[in-house]
Amino acid sequence: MDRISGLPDELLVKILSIVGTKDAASTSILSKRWKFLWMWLPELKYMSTSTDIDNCGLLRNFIDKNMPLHRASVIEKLCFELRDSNTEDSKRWVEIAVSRHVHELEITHYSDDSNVLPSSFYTCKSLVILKLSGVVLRDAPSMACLPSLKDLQIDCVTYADDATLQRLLDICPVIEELDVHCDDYNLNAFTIIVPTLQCLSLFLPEIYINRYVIDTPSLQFFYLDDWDYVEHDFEIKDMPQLSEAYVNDYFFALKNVIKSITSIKHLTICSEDHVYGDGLIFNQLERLTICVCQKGSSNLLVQLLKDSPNLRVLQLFRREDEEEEECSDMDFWNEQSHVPKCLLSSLHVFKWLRYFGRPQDRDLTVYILKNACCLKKAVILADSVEYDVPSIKMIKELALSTRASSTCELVFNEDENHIEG
Amino acid sequence: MSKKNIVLKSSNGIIFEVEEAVALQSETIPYMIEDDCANDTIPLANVTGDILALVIEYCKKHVVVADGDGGGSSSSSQEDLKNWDAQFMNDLDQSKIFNLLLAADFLNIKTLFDLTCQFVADTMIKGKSVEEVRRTLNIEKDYTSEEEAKARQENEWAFK
Repeated sequence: MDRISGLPDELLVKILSIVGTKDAASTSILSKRWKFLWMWLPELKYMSTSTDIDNCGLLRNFIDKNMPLHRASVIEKLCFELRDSNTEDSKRWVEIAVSRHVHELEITHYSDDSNVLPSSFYTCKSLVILKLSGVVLRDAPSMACLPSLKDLQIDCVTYADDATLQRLLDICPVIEELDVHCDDYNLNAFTIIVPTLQCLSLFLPEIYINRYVIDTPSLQFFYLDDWDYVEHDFEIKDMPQLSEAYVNDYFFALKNVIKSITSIKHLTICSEDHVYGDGLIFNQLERLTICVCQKGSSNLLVQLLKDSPNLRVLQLFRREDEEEEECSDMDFWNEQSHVPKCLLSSLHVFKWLRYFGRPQDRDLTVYILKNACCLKKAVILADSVEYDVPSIKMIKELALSTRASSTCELVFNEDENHIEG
Repeated sequence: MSKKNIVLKSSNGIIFEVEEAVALQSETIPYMIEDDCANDTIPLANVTGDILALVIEYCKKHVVVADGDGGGSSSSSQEDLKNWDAQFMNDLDQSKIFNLLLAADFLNIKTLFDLTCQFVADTMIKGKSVEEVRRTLNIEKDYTSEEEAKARQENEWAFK
């Protein structure tokens, strides 16, 4: 016998698990020794390599024939991506995976009625990770429970009604991570009320949502991308454990978000809103990253500096994916009568990642340099794509400006890879 | 810190003396020491001298980096190590590769085991047609042409 065929089954299965399901399945005709080896794969990933219907049909036939014969007693992961296929098939496959103690299910299934989840799914004890895309989400039946589910990702899903998402969340007693890309135009409102949730990413494009409620008291990481420009109502309850947040919003979110995240340590923000009300203090905020693509960005910065007495790192940037027309010129910096406390006592690092060299940019930088008493390092990366800031001019303007901190190192145009951290 | 040496003996009686830290990348060897099957020499009945020499070469290379200067220069040394691994595997013939895989499995050296599996998967199977895999691995076809044609037809997706 050839050398490789003499290796023990476990080693060959391990090797096959690396090559991918399709290549692994094709080894079944190498020789009789290989016929069933691939059927022990712990993970099955069926991706249709092309969008053409024929290929999808072949894939569907293949899965349908082989899933029931699969030999591994535990299917750790089942992943399939299909278009225009019968949902009864998908249900059958999911049912098999559930009976084989599946840990991770990833289903992408586009068709008119893609209710691909069989009733047995809703009581799957072993499921830890669930990713759904394209499917129609029906209400969970009564007595449903996913006792091990920790990570749920939902993208391009059609919801049966406004309460469907919450009903699914309600049957996940230990869920920690939720990622929702919400693009169902029929949705009017939703809630995310989950006491155990630690990470939440929520993306809302322009879907004309009316209202949403987020109540996640254990949250540590929060990503909110709310670009629904039609005014909507929402409520975000207090998140006392939150340490890191990214907030990108069109108009309406900021006030509501910010009052609930005062325990934040790292905040990244891009908002058209430029004020969020008085009386809030971010005592624990150490690192603030703020996008300067909006007119009101400088006002927002003024307020956040005032309200963050222990800030150590301030970073200014402009989102790479920002379209030109969405950006407006940032307003001029209004010099404040009182220098914010963080500039006097805690700010160590100031970075500007795409410096345009406009007068308002220069004024802001000069102000920081002039007033930040403990600054150790200021890094200014000139934008060479849009504005092509002449570095000599920039260096002249900034290097010669007054610096409150005599030990501050000033770095221009350093390679971006070297300034992380 | 005093350095303790461990003596390993291959199946064909070749003796290797290595630093403890090198040998302990194997998760099997500590059990053999505990089991006291070796106050002085640990016999490895499944590993021949030439393969054990390769295993030790790998472990020596990897131990140096593991206890380097606390990871300060880690990114460049990680890169170097990856290149070294690729060269190490490339220099071996198929027979040595499969014996190395068995040795890494027996000695339970996870990184070497993963490296070898990945190399076999990437260079001998992945993205290749059935005929190419047979040729690369010298696998003799024991299906009749009719059997093969039928299997291909039944599972057409896998062969597209």
